[in-house]
Amino acid sequence: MSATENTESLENELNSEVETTTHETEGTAPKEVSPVTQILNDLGDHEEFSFGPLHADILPVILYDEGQFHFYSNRSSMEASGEYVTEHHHIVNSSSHEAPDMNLSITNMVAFQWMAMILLVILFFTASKKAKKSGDKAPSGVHNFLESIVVFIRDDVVEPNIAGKASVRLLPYFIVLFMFILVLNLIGLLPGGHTATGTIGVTAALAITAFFVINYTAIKESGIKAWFHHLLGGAPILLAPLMIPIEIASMFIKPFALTIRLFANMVAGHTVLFSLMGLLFLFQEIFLAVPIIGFATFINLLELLVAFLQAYIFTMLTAIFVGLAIGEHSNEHAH
Amino acid sequence: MQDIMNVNPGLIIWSIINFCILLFILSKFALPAMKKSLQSREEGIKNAIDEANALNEKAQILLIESQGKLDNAQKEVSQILTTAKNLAEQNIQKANEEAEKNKNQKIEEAKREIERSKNDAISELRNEVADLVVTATEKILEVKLDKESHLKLAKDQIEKLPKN
Repeated sequence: MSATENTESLENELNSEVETTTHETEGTAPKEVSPVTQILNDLGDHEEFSFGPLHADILPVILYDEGQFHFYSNRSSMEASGEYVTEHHHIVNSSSHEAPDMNLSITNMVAFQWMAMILLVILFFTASKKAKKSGDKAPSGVHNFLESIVVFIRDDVVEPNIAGKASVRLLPYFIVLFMFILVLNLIGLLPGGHTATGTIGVTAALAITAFFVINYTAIKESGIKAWFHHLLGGAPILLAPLMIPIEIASMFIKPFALTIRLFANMVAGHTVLFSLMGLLFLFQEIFLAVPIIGFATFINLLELLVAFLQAYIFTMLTAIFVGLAIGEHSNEHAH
Repeated sequence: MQDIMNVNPGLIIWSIINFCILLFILSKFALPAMKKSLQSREEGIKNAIDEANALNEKAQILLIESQGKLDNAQKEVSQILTTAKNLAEQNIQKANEEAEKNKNQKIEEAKREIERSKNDAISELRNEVADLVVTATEKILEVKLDKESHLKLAKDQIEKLPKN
């Protein structure tokens, strides 16, 4: 993008900031902006694309309100239309001051997911092309790297946990799941990058797909009857009033735990990093920079580990849940 | 705390769509080729290992066989050697014995020869001495005596002499 556009968008942003502050002063209670909210706001999702110091109002806004879709090419064009305005970083109807029924805008995190998708598609297609060419020869480069991951997911995640044909059918799902989470985590570690997996929305989406995969596979492998029978948890029929709610709850708690685990792990590291950097601005001492930067580097390396670890854990747990859902059914058949 | 703990349904929907698109694209167009190459390579490696194992087993059997043959040959060789040694020893012993026997025989013969020669010499000497004594006595005494009786007298005298 050109420099003029950049300055324009910055100007727009400044204007909106001024507007919101005037709104706030006009409001009943002036809102206190603490460093904590600042940090958490930075970690969260935004309507505008930002990568480091680069802020660009280029993402389309899609709103569903009162049974109707509203499309705007970006936020300023939405504001210009006059139907919706931004108040306190929220989009509201300009007349009723209420949020639209659903905000389906392409947000910053969606844009980061697209970046990850483009990267993954390029990587996998390069590897696939090389695979077609290499034949029986040993893989090299990207192909080698991705194949080692594929083999790792197949041999250490999917096959030990999922029995039978389902493991072959579900292998692409687990490969893509692992790589998607991993790349999102790693993009978040780039300076200025945002961690899409550090928002509940993204992790919830992944967990929801996992929920469907778990139950679909269980029903497909063992049949709907066994799936309902599983709700008893293997207990005698008399315990049904107790067991059925517990089993249904556990069905939803599993993906919920997946959601929170990944989200919290990714946010925690970034929060610590931001807090450490915040200390510099708080104390304004040049000597403090040395220990803080050392510690921040350590946390960054730790985050690198966590990025791989959490991608692995999410994939592994999903595989275990799928395996449990299938395995228990086959046990039930044996009764 | 507005953004971070808020669950934005739009973000969830977009994330699901994104993930499904990615899953579809990769599993449809990229992963099958990788899987195929991986499988063919793994099969190739497995076949190669199986083949190597089979060959190894064959080689092991051959090794055991040849080792057995070698052992047999060694045994045969040592057997041949011992028999040869025994034979040689026997031959040597026989030769020794024969040599001893020959030697003894020769010695015996020599002894006998010596004895005979000695006896011959003694008898000859005796005759000579008897003749000498007769002539000497004839000459010294110059007494005409009957040769026969004188000879008898001398012979008797000689008989009285010690044997050797």
